[in-house]
Amino acid sequence: MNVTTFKTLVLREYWENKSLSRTPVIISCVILFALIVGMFTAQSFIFSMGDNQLFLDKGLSEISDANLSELSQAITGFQYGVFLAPLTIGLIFVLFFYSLGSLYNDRRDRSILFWKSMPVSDFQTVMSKVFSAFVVAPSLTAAVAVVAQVVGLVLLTIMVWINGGSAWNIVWSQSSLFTVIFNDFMALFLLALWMAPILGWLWLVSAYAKKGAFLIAVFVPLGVMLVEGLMLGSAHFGTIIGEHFAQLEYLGESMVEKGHPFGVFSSTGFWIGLVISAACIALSVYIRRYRDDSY
Amino acid sequence: MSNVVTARSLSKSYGEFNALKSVNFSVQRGRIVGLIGPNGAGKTTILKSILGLTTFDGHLDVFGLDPQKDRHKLMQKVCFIADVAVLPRWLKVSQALDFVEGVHPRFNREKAERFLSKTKINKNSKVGHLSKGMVTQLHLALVLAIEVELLVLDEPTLGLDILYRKDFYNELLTEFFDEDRSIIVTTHQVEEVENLLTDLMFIKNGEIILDSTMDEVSERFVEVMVSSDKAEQAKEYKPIAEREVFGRKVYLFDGLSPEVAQSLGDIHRPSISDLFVAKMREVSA
Repeated sequence: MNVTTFKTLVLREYWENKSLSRTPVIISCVILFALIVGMFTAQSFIFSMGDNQLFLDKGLSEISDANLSELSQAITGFQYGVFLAPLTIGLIFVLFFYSLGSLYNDRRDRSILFWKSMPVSDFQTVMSKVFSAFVVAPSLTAAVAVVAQVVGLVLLTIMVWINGGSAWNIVWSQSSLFTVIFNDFMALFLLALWMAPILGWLWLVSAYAKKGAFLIAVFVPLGVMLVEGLMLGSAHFGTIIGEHFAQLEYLGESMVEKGHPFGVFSSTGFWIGLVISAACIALSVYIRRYRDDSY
Repeated sequence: MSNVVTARSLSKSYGEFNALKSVNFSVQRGRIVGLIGPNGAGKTTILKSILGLTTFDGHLDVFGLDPQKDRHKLMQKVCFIADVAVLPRWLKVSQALDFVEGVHPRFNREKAERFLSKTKINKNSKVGHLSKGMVTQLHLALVLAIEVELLVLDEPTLGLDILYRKDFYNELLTEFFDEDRSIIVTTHQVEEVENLLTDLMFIKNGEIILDSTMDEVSERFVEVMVSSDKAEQAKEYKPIAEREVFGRKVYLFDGLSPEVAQSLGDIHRPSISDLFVAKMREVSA
């Protein structure tokens, strides 16, 4: 595969889908704004207690002794919980709508005829979208998360300074910043891979649907569940989907308990999801290549 | 002269409907072929087959490649403008240039920028903010700057006002066309391309009913303006069409010898649109 061509195709995805970077930036700005408001409130509460020196001294002495690891956990928990978690949810939505539109929007506005007039194979086109979903989107969100987390630590630093503490001892030395940065990227890559079977389904709908892609993407699975329930009285399909969503918990749990998100690798469902996704992607390429309603 | 497109028994059916009924044709290097036919005649199906945008039965060879299998390789040698305004609205002009430069090895960016500098198109504009004429100019600038060997144009001037339409064909001739390249064009505005074409193909109900060079067309078809007293005599030569102009009959003949034609009245070359109308009616009659 030609590298320049592929680079251009991925760039094209980014030009069309500014939400890949805008969504995490907007989410982070909202969080930081809320954080600043919260800090003002907390600080005015501390001032209102009058003898803030006493408050801090007491607090610091408690912190510095036995419960250093608790402080460390609190700081990393702050970075994951306040920043990474909402950005993760944001990424789920971004990936959902990105994939659903990626092989559909250009057929609706007929710009597919322009893209198809270029010497690019449909395999390359679809792969550029797959690459954008699994690599570009998580990387952008992770990069934004890192910046937001650092700004968050700076805000904490200011707060500690105002109250006369040592920001290095309380905030930065406990932040495990490099581990957090590594985990931001890994967690979001794994999130995208966890979503792989869902994204595969969305690409399939995106390549196939003549109209109403969203409705097809959402209501066909619901319809399958309903039909299964009525005809067979069972709920296997729903259970499979439910179990897949339960894996999200693995991802979070593993981060908190083991310090890395790779716990999800031990789940068979995760790997089966990747296989299903690959099959859907292959089928999407085929449909994109041979469907005939585009002109 | 070498063929760039060769079709043998090319067929295509959509369910019960036969869009193409086993047609044969070829396009040679250095020609401008006009593919003319009413809506639903199969024009677009022929173009789509050549461009690998649809499946078909029979044999089709474009630059030695099978469009169904090697579409993306073919697109290095072939480019097309399918319809106006298929450029996506979110695309910036500068991004369009970057994109084509990135994916097309035969794109000449300087040439495209030179075209654009002659227009009022701002490089930072999005396609959605350009007028329809400007979008076509942009598309043309991109496509004409690609040094392909075959250009396929399907209704390229549809929806454009007349000023742009003239410019469009002028640029096509001066900036793109030479003896190594070929153009296939379909249009409803036959008058516009009349003086441009080297070859003419009429298609109706999935069949090619006329396929010849423009030189052959002017030798074969003749229009004679006949005074009313010679009308009966003219009818004996079986004109394929007749119409009335200022009380005199105008007959269109296929294969009438020049001497006979001159003896009947004033002769001139039929316009393509008159010829088209005559051929369409002739087949259905």
